[in-house]
Amino acid sequence: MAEKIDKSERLFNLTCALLVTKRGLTKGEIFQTVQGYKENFKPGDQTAMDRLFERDKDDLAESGVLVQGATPASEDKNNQEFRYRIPNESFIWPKDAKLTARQVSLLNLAAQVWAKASLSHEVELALTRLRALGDIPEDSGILGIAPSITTQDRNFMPLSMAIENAEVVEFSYRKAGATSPETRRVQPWRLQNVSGQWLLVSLDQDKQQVRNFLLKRIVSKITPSGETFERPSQQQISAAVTDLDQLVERQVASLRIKPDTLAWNYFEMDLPRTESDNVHHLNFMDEGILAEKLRTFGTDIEVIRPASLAAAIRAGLEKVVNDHA
Amino acid sequence: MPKKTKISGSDKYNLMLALVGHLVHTDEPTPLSELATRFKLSEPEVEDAVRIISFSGVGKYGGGELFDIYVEDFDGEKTVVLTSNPAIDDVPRISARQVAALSAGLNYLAQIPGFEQKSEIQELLGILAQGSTSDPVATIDVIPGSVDSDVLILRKAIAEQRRITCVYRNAKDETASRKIDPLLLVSKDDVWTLRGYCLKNQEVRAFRLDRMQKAQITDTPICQEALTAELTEEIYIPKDSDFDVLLELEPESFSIIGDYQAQTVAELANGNLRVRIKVGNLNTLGPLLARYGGSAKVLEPQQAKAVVRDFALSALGESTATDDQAAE
Repeated sequence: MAEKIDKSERLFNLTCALLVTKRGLTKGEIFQTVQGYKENFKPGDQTAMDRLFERDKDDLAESGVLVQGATPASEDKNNQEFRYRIPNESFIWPKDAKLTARQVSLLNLAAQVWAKASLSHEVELALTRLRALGDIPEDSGILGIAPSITTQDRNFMPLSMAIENAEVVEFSYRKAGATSPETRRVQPWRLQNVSGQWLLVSLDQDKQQVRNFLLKRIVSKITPSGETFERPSQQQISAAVTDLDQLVERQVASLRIKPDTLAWNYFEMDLPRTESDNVHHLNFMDEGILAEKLRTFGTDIEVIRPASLAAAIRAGLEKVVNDHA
Repeated sequence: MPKKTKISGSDKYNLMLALVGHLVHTDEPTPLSELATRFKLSEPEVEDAVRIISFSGVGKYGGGELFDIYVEDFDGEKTVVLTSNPAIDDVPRISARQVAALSAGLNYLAQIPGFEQKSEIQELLGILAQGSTSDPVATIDVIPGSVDSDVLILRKAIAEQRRITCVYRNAKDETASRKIDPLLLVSKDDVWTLRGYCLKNQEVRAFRLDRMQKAQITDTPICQEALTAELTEEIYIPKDSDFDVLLELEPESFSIIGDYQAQTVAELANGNLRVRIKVGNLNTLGPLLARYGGSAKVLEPQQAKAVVRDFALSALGESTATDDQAAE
């Protein structure tokens, strides 16, 4: 009868064994010597152990602990001689890292931003480590505020994994107003939330150009291709983000807003303003997204320009009328 | 009896790493209660992690050494002592993605009006970057849209525990002046909400900032009811009088599912979903469906379809037989 060993105990002993080893451990050595494995190991039956080991490596990775192959990556991982280890220098925090109580409470608040998102578990795990480094915060003046970002989109986590693994992905994308989607193959670089909308910053493999995709218009589940790419530099990412900022700078909509309506509140038209009348100018990233927002205001607003925005609002409303006949 | 919540195996593992990483820095016995406070866990949870560490060690390839860690009980005051540690020299680093997420969270905070800890945040970002297991390229970022100007006033009022007055437009599009004892400012993506004790309704309510005008701080301190009010997760509790609405969603409108806690009824071959939602007031469906501009539609009831159609027609500037909204 196999002994029941707590999973945390197995993960912990595995980590210790891989940290201490100089030349790395083969799977065989792990299965025969590490607590949590050795109790259940039957020579000749490696399949169940292999699966367990792969799952454990994933758990370690989620917790931020990276297991490295100690032989060149080109070698077959099923090779009996393939060795695993955790290099100590990449494992521990740089010496003398220390956090003040105040810094810990700021990090608590930063983690809370993700509390309603799919990243919340990973962030919580990181926070436990950070709490080990710092002083214990008291409830402080930054309470009273609870900001949060959601990541409801089904492709958020898969894309985040693909970014981490530098893996090319494929998906169907439907442009605003288009009827049928197109297949895109991209190098995912970065997930960026702009005014509440998640955007994938990427390099389009076919066009060899930087392209941004709104997650909400990715109409399929993403498919990892198995093909990896060289990670972009910080400069390449910054350039892509600057382009996006400039796009927002360039795109301006002008709206006429009916006084004392919900839209009037929303655009804070009661505040002191330099513009005359009831006209409001605003920058936008995506016409389709802005059209969505503006359609909710009904006749409270009138689009002065651009004409394409007015047309997009109108086309959407006409489709709603037809769909609800 | 301290509350014992069940923490998962991987959470416990992570705690064990952090515990050892923390305890290596001290030779003194550390009170169990302090560790529980530090890691925001119960004492039994920490004690359980200590117990498992005490069984652990490295096998024959590392010299065969075990952890020596135990809980001591002096007059009911429990302390934890770590005397031998064969493997873990310090607190472990965090992954590039964990750094990216926390950094994005910090950047987001820095952009909230009135958030004056910008230099502290810069410093923290630096510390986090050093503690990453690999070169941290910013793979996640959050740029908030324009934030309501009332945020600044409301944060001040919350900090000073003072009552506010404002003009508020409710879901029925009626405006009235309100007295609110503000408790917590909540943002979800780009929507800001104030949770506060409403003097008129005598209970904690949620107020959307984009429906609020002329917010002003008064000299009145917030009332006892507000001070003791419990702020629970804001979850919409459906009522018996709610309408049950069947929708068909294209992927572009799947966010309705999370926003309305929709129940998926069917997945269609073309990738669309049929879902049911509950709404208290059918009129809210007009702007909701208009927003999605055709990627979401009401299948039933007929009454709801009529409301949506009328809203869209009226927004197009075409009068309808039942259009009495414009008259108000």
